[in-house]
Amino acid sequence: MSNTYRGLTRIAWGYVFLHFNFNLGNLNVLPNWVGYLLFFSAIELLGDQLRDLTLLKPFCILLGAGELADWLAVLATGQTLVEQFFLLNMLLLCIGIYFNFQMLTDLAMLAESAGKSGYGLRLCRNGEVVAVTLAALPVPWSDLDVVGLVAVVMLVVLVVIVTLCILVQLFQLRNQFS
Amino acid sequence: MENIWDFLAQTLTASVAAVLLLIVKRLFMDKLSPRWQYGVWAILAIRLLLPAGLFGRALIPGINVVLEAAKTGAESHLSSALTVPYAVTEVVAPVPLIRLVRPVSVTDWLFYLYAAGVAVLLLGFLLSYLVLRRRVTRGRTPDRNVLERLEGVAAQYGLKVPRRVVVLPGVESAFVCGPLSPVLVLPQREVDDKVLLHELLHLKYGDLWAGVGICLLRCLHWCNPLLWYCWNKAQNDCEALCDQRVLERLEGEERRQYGVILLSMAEDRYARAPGTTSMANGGKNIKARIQAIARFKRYPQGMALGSWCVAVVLTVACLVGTGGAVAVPQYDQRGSFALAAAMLNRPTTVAGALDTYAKAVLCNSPVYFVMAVPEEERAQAIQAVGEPFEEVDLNDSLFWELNFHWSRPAWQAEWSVMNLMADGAGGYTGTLFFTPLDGYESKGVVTQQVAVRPRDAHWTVAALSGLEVWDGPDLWLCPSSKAPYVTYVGQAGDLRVEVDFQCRLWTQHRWVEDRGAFQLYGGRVDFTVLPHGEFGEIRMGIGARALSPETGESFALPLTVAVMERAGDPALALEKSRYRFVMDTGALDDDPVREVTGSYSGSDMTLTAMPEALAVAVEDGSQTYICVALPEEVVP
Repeated sequence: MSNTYRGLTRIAWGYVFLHFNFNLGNLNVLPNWVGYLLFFSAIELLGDQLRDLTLLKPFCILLGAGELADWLAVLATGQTLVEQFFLLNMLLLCIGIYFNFQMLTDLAMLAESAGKSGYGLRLCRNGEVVAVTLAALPVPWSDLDVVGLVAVVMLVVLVVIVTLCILVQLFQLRNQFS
Repeated sequence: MENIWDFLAQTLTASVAAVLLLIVKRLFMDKLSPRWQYGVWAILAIRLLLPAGLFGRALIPGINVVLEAAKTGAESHLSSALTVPYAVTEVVAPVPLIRLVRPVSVTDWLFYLYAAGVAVLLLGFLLSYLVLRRRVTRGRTPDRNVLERLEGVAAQYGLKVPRRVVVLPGVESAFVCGPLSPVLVLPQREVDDKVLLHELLHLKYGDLWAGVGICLLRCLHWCNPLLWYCWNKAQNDCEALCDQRVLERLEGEERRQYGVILLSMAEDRYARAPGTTSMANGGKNIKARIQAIARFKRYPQGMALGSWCVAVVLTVACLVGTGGAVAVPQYDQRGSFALAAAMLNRPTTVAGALDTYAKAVLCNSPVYFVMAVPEEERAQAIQAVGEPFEEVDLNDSLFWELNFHWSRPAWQAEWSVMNLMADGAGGYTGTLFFTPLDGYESKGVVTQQVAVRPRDAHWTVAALSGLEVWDGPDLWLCPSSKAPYVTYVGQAGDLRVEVDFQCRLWTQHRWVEDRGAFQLYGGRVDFTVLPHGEFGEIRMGIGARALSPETGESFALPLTVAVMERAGDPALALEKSRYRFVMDTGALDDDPVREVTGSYSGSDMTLTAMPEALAVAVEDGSQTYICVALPEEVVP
């Protein structure tokens, strides 16, 4: 089994941990920080092929630490911690946006270097980053009545579709290196 | 900025944004290009041009409470001419606005000192620019071959040559001077083509204007070293971006040579002057630029959309901030912080003002009075907030005499407001009702006439009478002749129509549970005020009669009443109004008054005061007469 295959497997499962939550009371059994742990180990494996990917290591640690703090806070108090601090939350949001964008860019390049198309991943990457940025805008959706509701629903649907597409493509990409 | 506190709020907000930007730039230093690194300084520039606290938003929730508390603490002992000690700091402009009054306090002097500093620095920058400009006029025209080489470089890269090019003895490196009519100043020694390219690119991208803007922003916050540090970084980023632009136009060996030229300038003197750009900007900065050059083409590719999105989120964080509301103070809080929280939570709705005032009465809380009462009545409450809290039995009030139930922190009563009537000046008058909440042996209801008035973006409540006792049980509405009402009068055909209208409004109160060792269960009303709350329930009572205007005889005719606006169409109101009442036969045998009550609740109530007018339909046989009834008589 090649490093590429193992690295891509970890990234794909990392996305599963990152985007799916399964809660037993206050306990999220698919914690996001595990996702970042998997990403970190994947960066170690893929770093030789994707030079830029190693730039994401410090971001991976920061995001993982933030998610771990949140996970523990929810477990202990039922409330997230990072969201209580507006600027810290925005800082981690910036880092998260960049992290996901660059990781998917690098994976698209990996696909292209193997003679496959990276177009799908790039498209999903763009959809995801736009949706996340739109969600961060201080638009009073609830005051916009029907328009706001439609916009929120469309945004949620976009995120769900894009997330599922990314997952499918990541596993497909992995299988191409088996 | 009209006083030193406005300046502190402004510079503090900018500093928080600056720290965030510095952290983000450090994190993304090796990931995003010099274009992004330089571009994000625009966020700080815009932040400085937007008043702090715009739309009640802040970068750090609660920072305004600290500032207000500091201001209250300092100014309460001073008699500043520029600062009102108990008014909320509101920055109206990002530049100092000078009022020509004699400074009285140390804070007045500090503000004048700050404003003078802005003026002196502006003048200093202007003078240094004029001196340089004058020096430049003495420069000589360069040799023909230098000009030809310059034109060659410009032609090669599609750039414009400035109208004036001079050689100035004593200058160590080339620079461009003057944003309006730029002059390229060259040293006496030979200048490399790449240096010329660098300066021409500064001209092309308008970096001189950016430099002027940075100078002005330096002046505005001349006493904030963090912002000076940021603008130094911004100017260095500008040079790094220009380096990047040069490298994008050069090939192979030329790029290495450019780096060598830059290194050779590390020892050159860096004399920053406003309205100029210079490739040599000090050894330390050149070191950073060399590092940036080393990363040329090593930034991750294909990141344009991602970097834009990061910039958008950063912009939102720095410019919009968070609307996190300042926590409403507790009834027993005292001191500067409580006062600051009270001032920052002044009611923004009529219901919120009445709720705050009513709870201030029930809790006897000076901090709540500060929030609700008009400025001219606030002094006594402010003084009480400054004194330490002492738990006392509130046994010298009407509530005590009427055996209202007492449970800390308040008399257990719900409040409502009766007949909230527009006063014609944008405010309302009405009667507050304090009603016991349980079957305690109370002998009545406590009432008070109040006026609710707008003041800037807030609402205040002023008492028009003292607390009074209403004997007997809680008042129910029409046909109770005891309850106050407003009579609306209209003319329908030959008949005079009189409508007695009563309306009572409630906000939703919240319960908190009390659990003690000897008490399995108990509850009391949560008396935390809701300064931005809305009315949640309305009950209306209506009595109407049709009578002859000549004889005064009443007629038992079917009547329908609907709420309408004064300029509205009564027929349309009777057809579509949400508040429409078909009157029932009354209970009085000797007076054919017709009556009805209505009750509405929820967050979508559209009627939150007495109606401006009523549409009345009177059915007289086969005829239906429609008229508009307007308020005529108020029975207190």
